[in-house]
Amino acid sequence: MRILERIRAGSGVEREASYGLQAGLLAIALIGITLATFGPFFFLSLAYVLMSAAGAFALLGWRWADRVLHLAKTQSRVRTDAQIGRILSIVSLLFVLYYSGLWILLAVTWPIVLFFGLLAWSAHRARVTARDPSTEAGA
Amino acid sequence: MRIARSALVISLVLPALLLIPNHVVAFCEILEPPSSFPTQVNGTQVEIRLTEGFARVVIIKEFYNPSNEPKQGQIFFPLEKGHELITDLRLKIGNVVYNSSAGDRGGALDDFLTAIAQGQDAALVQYDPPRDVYWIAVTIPPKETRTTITTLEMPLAKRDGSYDYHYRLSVDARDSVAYLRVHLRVETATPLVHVHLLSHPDVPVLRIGDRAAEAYINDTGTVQGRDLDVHFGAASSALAQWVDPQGERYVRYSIDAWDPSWRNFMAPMPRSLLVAVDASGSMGLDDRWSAAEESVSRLAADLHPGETFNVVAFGGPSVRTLDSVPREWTPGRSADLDRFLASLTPHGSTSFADPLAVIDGWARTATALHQQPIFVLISDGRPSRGLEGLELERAFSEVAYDRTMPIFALATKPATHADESLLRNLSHFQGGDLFTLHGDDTAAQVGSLLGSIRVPMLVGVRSDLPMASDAVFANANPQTVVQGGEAIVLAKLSGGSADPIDVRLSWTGAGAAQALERTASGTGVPLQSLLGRQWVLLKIHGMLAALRAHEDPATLDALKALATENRVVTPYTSLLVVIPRTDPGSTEASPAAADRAFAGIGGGLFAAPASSGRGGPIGVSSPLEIEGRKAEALRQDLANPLVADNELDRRIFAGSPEDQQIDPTTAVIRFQGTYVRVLEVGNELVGVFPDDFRGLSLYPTTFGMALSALSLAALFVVRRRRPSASTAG
Repeated sequence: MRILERIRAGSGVEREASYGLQAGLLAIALIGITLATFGPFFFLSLAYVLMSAAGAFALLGWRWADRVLHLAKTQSRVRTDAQIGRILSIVSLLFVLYYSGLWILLAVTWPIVLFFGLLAWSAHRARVTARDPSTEAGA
Repeated sequence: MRIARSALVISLVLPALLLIPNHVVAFCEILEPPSSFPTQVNGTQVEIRLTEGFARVVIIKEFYNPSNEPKQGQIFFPLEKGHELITDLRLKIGNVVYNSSAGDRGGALDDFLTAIAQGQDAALVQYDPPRDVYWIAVTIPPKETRTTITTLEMPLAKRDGSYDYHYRLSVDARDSVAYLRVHLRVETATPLVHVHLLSHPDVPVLRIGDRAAEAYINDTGTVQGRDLDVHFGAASSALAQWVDPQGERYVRYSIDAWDPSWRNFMAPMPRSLLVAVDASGSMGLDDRWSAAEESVSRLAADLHPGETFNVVAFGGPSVRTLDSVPREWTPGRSADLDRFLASLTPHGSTSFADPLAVIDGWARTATALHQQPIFVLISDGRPSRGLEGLELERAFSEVAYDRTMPIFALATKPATHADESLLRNLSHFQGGDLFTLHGDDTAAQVGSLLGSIRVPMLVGVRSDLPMASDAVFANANPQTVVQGGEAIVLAKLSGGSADPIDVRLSWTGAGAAQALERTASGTGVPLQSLLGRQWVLLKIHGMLAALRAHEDPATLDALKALATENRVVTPYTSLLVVIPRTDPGSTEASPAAADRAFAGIGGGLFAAPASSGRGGPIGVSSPLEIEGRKAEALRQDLANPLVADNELDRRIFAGSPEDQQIDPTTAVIRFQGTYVRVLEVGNELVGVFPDDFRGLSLYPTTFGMALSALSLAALFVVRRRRPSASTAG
């Protein structure tokens, strides 16, 4: 929570990009640890805990990276960190969706998910444009 | 049709019996399908009659069906081999008692089913080989009582001048809701020296003259939850006779080993201790191996000059021996024994049959040396390969019978009661006994084992009745007199009770032929009414012992004839009571009624198993759940005792060249798990593991480990990276 507060307080775009990258890496690492337990030492409850944590970090990483990438005036290296962070987070979320079985839920409820997804994406675009239309770099 | 029906019934009955958990502990208890109104035992009446070398017990049990449905159930009698046999069954309905008829086992079952199918009441007493138990199938209409009158008879062995009899009275006292009546009568041909109720010293024993005594127990409280143990003794030698209504005369003469008339010829035969020690994987767990090593050393240390010893260790595909033949034990050899035991590392599979050939050869050698071979098996009692169950018992019986060799067992911290029971079956019924090591009691248990060994004192004692050329002996002839035992002559002959009796025992002693003769005028010899039954039981037990070792058709036919004629239930003969029909109905066998009978015999135990389906309404599981189930199955496979106890001789991977070399037609599956298979191939136990067990080929694990390692390394690098000089924002 302290990290979130610091980021909200505007402690730096570079740091935010770094957090996005770190969260993405951590999410991938947690997924790797879960996969490493496959076999006789696999415990379902532990796997779900690890996957949930990976999902949470992936969402956080995606949000941090996305914020940085919506800013036009950023260094190339910072943008790269954010890009990588976002990719890792999305890949992690795909892993989580697949292994946790949430994709089954999505497959069943895809019209609802699509509808609310489009609404959320529109709201997100509107918020970004409203915040600073001149610096919008697109994402 | 009859064959098909019999096959169907057997296929129903046997699995039903196998489904009953621990039923062998029940004695004379009714087993039935679960019910809110279980059959109750109104009362039990027990008549126990004991005499020299013989016991007869009549158990009268009144069963009541309190429900509104007809009941079918089984009453179980786990009778020990060589001890009790069921010799009569009657069924009492109201005031009418229906007698049983004896017949061949298969035929009696067929008749029972026919009777049930025709709507008749019936009761059948049979032997169930897989569980080694006798059972009576009874049907009880709703709100009615059925009284079974069962007679058990058994020979009693004399030990150190006394007879001991044990009856499982605690079960009767526990189950009988209304009444319990026990009448004990001890009657001997010679004056009773002593009679004690060891289990119930407070119950008075009433003496009737100098040759009879009686005791009564008339309430469950007096039983105090204990079984009945009776200990009695009479004179060291006794002569008795009986003439039955058919004109057959029976004569019994017994003489103790320590009787003054021949005790000078008694000399204990030197022992030859032949030890088979289990060195399989499971013996390496739970500190079993050190207990086994200590046991072997203690057994050897008890030997005297002139006695021999040898050890065979079995575990895995091979056996290892201390010496090629039994050798005389000297204290100097203890170092050799220690070295031999230290050279063994418990591993591999367990096959109790593996050391039998070696032991058999050693026993022949010991017998040639005029020594008594004594087989001591030391194991935790869990064979993982080779013969099992009845086949294994038969193999041990064969060796014990052919070599006249008692088998003792030291159960070394057995993991389950079943393991201990197996060792008991291999030893207790082969002239020896079982002793169990639990931890630090090795010295005491080995001491008890050694103390219970009774070696022959006089061999080749021949029985004769010189005045009766037609005498048929029930006893072994010649016979062996063991420590603390007695010689028995029990013969059937013609003649009346007033005819004189001349019994002659002859043997070779002190380098010359010796004889002991007992003559008496017939009128002076006491009458003992159970002698006829005793003769039959002794004869039948002799035949059963021979059949346990070797299935000889001639002996089998003779046994069936004798048992049927004398109404004795054996593994090959049965008793059947059929109640005549009271309502005029169809006499044709009705399929529906037959089905009910099958259900009755099955005990209604074939309840449909509850649905064990997995998954939710759509039946789709997540990969994690699928992996969870796989992991659980894998853990269960690996927890199988054959794998977990290191009983495998070889481990291979599925699909490997070694796996492909295994001939599936000859390999015996010992364990089939979800992923792991254990096969008995030749004299090896082979574990076949999934190919994924090859470590690196565990794709998700390897991939996951690499992924997490790389990610964490990258995370470490990112966190250590120095921030750049300027940032936008």
